[in-house]
Amino acid sequence: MEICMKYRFSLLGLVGIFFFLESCIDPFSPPEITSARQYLVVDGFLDVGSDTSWIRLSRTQNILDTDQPTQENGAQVRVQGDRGSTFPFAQVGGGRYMLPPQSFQEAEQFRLYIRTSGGYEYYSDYVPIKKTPPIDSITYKVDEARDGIQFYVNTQDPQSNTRFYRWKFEETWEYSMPLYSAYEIQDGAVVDRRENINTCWSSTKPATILVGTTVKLSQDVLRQHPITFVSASTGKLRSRYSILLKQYALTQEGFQYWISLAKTTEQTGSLFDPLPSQITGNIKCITDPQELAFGFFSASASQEKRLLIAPRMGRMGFCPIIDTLDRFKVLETQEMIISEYFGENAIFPDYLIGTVSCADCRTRGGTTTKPSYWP
Amino acid sequence: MKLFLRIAVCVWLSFFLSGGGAFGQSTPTLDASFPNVSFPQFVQQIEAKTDYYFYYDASQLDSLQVTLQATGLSLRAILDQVFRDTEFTYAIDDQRRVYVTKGQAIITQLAPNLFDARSQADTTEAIAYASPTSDLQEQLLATAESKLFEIGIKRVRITPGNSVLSGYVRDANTGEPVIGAALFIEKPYIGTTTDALGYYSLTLPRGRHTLRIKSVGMRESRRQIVLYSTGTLDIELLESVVALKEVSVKAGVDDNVAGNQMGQVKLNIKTLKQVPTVFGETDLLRTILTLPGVKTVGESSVGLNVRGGSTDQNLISFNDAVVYNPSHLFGFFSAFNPDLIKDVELYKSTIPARFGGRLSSVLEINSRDGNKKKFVASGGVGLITGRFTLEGPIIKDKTSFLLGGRSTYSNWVLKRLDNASFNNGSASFYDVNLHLSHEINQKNSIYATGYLSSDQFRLVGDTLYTYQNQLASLKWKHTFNDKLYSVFTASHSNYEYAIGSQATPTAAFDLAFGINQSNVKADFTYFLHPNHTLEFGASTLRYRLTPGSFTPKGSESLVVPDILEAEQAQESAIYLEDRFEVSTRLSITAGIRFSLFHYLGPRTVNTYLPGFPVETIYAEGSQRYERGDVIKRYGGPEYRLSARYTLRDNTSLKVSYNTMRQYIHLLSNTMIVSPTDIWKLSDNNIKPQQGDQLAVGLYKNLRNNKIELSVEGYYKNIQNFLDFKGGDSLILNPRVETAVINTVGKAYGVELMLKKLTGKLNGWVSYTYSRSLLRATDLAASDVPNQGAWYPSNYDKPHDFTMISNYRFSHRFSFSLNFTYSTGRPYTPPIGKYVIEGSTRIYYAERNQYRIPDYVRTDISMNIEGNHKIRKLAHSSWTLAVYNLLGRRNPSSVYFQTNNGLINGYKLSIFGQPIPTVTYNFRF
Repeated sequence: MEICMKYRFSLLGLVGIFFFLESCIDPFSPPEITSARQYLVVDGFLDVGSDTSWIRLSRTQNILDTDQPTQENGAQVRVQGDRGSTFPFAQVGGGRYMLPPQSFQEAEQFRLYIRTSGGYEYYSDYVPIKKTPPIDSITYKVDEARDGIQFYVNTQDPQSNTRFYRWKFEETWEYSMPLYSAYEIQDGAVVDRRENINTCWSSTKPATILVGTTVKLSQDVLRQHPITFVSASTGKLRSRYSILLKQYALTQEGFQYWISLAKTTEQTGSLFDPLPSQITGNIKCITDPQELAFGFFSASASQEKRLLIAPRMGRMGFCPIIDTLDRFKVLETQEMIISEYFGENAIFPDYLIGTVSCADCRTRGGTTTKPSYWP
Repeated sequence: MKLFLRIAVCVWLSFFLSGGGAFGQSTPTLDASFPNVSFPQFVQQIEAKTDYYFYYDASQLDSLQVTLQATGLSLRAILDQVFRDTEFTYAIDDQRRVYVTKGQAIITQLAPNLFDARSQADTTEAIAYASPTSDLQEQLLATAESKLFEIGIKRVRITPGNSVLSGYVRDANTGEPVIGAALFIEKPYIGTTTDALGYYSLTLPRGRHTLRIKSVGMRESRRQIVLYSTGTLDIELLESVVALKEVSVKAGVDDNVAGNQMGQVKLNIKTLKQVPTVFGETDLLRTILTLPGVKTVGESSVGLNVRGGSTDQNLISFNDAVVYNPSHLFGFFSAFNPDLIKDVELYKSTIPARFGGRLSSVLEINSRDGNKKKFVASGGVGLITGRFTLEGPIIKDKTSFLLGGRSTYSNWVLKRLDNASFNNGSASFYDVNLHLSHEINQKNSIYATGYLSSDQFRLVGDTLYTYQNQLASLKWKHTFNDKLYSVFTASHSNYEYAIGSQATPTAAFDLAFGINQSNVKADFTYFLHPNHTLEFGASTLRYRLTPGSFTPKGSESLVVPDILEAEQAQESAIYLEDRFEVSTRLSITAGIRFSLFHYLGPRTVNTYLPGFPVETIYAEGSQRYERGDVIKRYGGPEYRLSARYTLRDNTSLKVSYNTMRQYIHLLSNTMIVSPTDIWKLSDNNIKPQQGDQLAVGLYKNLRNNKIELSVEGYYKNIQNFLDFKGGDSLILNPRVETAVINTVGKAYGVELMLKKLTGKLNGWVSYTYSRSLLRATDLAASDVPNQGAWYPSNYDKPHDFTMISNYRFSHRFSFSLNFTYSTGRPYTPPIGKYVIEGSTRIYYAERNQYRIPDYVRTDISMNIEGNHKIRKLAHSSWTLAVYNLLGRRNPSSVYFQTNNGLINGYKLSIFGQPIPTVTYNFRF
């Protein structure tokens, strides 16, 4: 009798405990999360090469904020050299500031000065001009096992001054749709399609932070340094694929900034997750030390190289014809006209219809304009 | 019976002392017939016919009927017949007095040389001797108190000077040693305490003394001794039965003020049992957490943070074997069966030189010895666990065993729940202990302990976590002579965990980690001089680590095996410590320990570019070491100093300074102790932790030692402490040194405690203010927290208030109320987001600059005992308790999750509602 009672208690207890485990998760938004200050964010660098330098100023947001970040307009932005030279940036709106190409003294170190419309002043640390060596080559290797292509960069600095590298890349690829739409409707009539919407070109600039170093090596030479792996399943490799790689030399501090930023993931803080860390950069507010600033100012020229290949990997998806419409009904369709179809003894053609998503390449984010460098 | 004896003794004694004696009379014979008469009638008739006189307890013998026909029989022959097949025996002395007793006959003659020492002629002597069977135990011990014990080789004249008295103090019922019992004489005031084996040694002036023995939970006792020369005296103490309700917390020895140690707390099982716990079962570590200076980061965790130290800085040993994971079920329970524990001792500032290898504290958990006299079974049934213990003698009074087991039936319950997600879940654990003790002879005893704990859980999802602790220890205690005794210990500990997943057969894996260590040590105590006690010894231990393996599970699995290379090291130490009683007011303990650590091959170690931070990008290469090669050597002295100065009779001031070294690190970058934390030995890249602590304390006892008041302050420095970089994995990381941040730590605090030990209302109230801060040392490394400024550690909780109170309404019913408040622990929230280089990044506040909400909890419990008859078949008790009575949702952790691109914060309260529990305990 006693035993039975005890078991009943334990049963209730456990149910209770697991019920609590389920239910005792409450939203948690203390003031430090909901009312954090809006700090200045500095995105950009001094291009000491032949390109325009861009600096974007914006504000940090509350993590629960769903809006676009606030742009910081009306600020004074200057680059100051430690030997007295000053280069003011011009505001172009949208929080963007630009400096046309200038000639810089190689031995001079530069810092960024910002004075916001609110009167806060910021300085970055002085940074040296890092000369970027040219990219020797971009190479690639078809990886059958993973069904994709791995791209590599090769570069070197015979003077061994660079040591730390950062890359950004833009990828562009050609793609076609499974169905070719030969006709379109104009002014209530079926006419031949004037623009080819079967083949498009799409581009992305992945935000992946890519850095590399040769400090472990006796020479400042990078061979086959991996850049990106493109899987055939992305559809980027079906026709032609091009990668534009930009290379920047970094200081050691800059290198560590980007490494740290890359490590801080957007997902964190569960019961067993690692501790996060705070990474700000090399820009500080001198008006109020409590006022943080995010971003890393550096001065370098970029080097770039483009590779264009025709891998023809991956399979095109299959799209069925969804309907066959006569010449009147076809005028009301929202879908795409693929081709004419003459039935037996028919005088007027019927039209085969496919879905927009199977025939219009623009629905997948690309444009029909062929890039200038495309063959 | 007692009354009868006393009368008999007095009558007999007075007669004897008067010197009258008709010795050597002839034995008369009797002719008599007793046709079914009662025993008193029989006595009347005998007394009428002869000059014999009977002493007996009428209440016992009333019912004895005598039917006898005697012709020419002596009284002895008659009595032999009368008492045949009864429990009664008799004795006849020279004066023809007949003593009828139950069980054992009264001894009617004294040792022939009893009164040789003329100076002691006024001695009261125990002359009626009854056997030490259980019935008469109490009388016997009472008798022992009035008996005069002669120690050493007897002489007519006692020469002046000192001799050594030594021996064991044991529990009269169980034969277990009584640890920490205070033995002292009052004039002059000389005292000592028993060691972990109940052994004591006292250097006293030769002559007559009253030796007083005090111990918590035992009846106070005294022995009259005449010390002629060095000799032994074993003492048995009776348990104080009312102590079931007594809060018997001791700081240091019996006396808070007089002891030399500071920052030392000893809790015995009775105290542990009074503190309400979440699942109704006595929980050793959770009770430790109520003491000042001891904290934990999460409610569901039993990881101890002692005085601002991390959880890996505590040496937790169970019967001298090191325990690596002292918890069950993710830390909800401690891994020690309360039925087997005798006591637990926590050292947080004065750490004796015999301990080493951890920075913050030593937690010694001692199991009981099995009952050496009779078999006892006990157990309990609680909400989630059941436990059972069996103990008893193997050879009576010499060898005993204690076997205990505990398991959970939560699996059984989970399977019966309707909810499918619980049905898939499983959670089970068990632990088994076996403890044997054997006394070979007076000078040699052997103790063996085996312990196994195992855990398995799969609450949500398909991942199965398992972990095991296995411990074994063997201890041999040997007494060389009255001045020198020794303990030789060998122990082995093994801890391993595994995580397995079979959700997708192609990705099924097993992940495993293991550590084991084998220790041998020899500890000696030498009573050099009445004012100097030396402790010295040597120890060595071997670590073997399997830092991680990731292997495919099942034939379909495509997992590529990844096995990290094993690590091994040898840690050795020698120590010497002297306790010097400078005067009655001042006592100093000074110790030195020299420890040496060898990190050994075979192993390939990573090297990094000199001048660059230890990071993967600066890896230089690796170096191969073969078996027997020493990869890295560390070592150095550790100092242990403490002093006590008595200001007034009930007030003392204590100071201590300790330095410590630790060669093993727990790598955990999660907020709380998790079962996937890994241990790492110091190596060529990771230096040993070093710490030193200065502590000052003032102790005062009020109201005749009923109330103890203490204030302790401390300041600690820690070098080479490891904190962790954001975002780096520690599990299966072949370059784990790149995921750590070297820091220095400092911790300081004040602990106030008021304890009331006796009375109906008892318990303690404590308040602690403490800080624990860290600072990164290598500023060139990436990810330096807070730009190299001091930041709070994860377990920095400045304010802590605890009240443990117990009110005893009657001997059978008591009520406990606990209240705990502490500052919420620091955490690092994401406080904003921004866009750089086209993607959104989260930024976090500086490390540990914000705190989760404060922790407040109230618990109550009621203990209802069965009746207090000492002799009955089974003793049982019920414990009713409510944990978190007010249902406050104390967050155990807070976390952030990205849902639809938004980061939302949540707090998880594991015990967010009142949790009532019922536990039934029994013992028979």
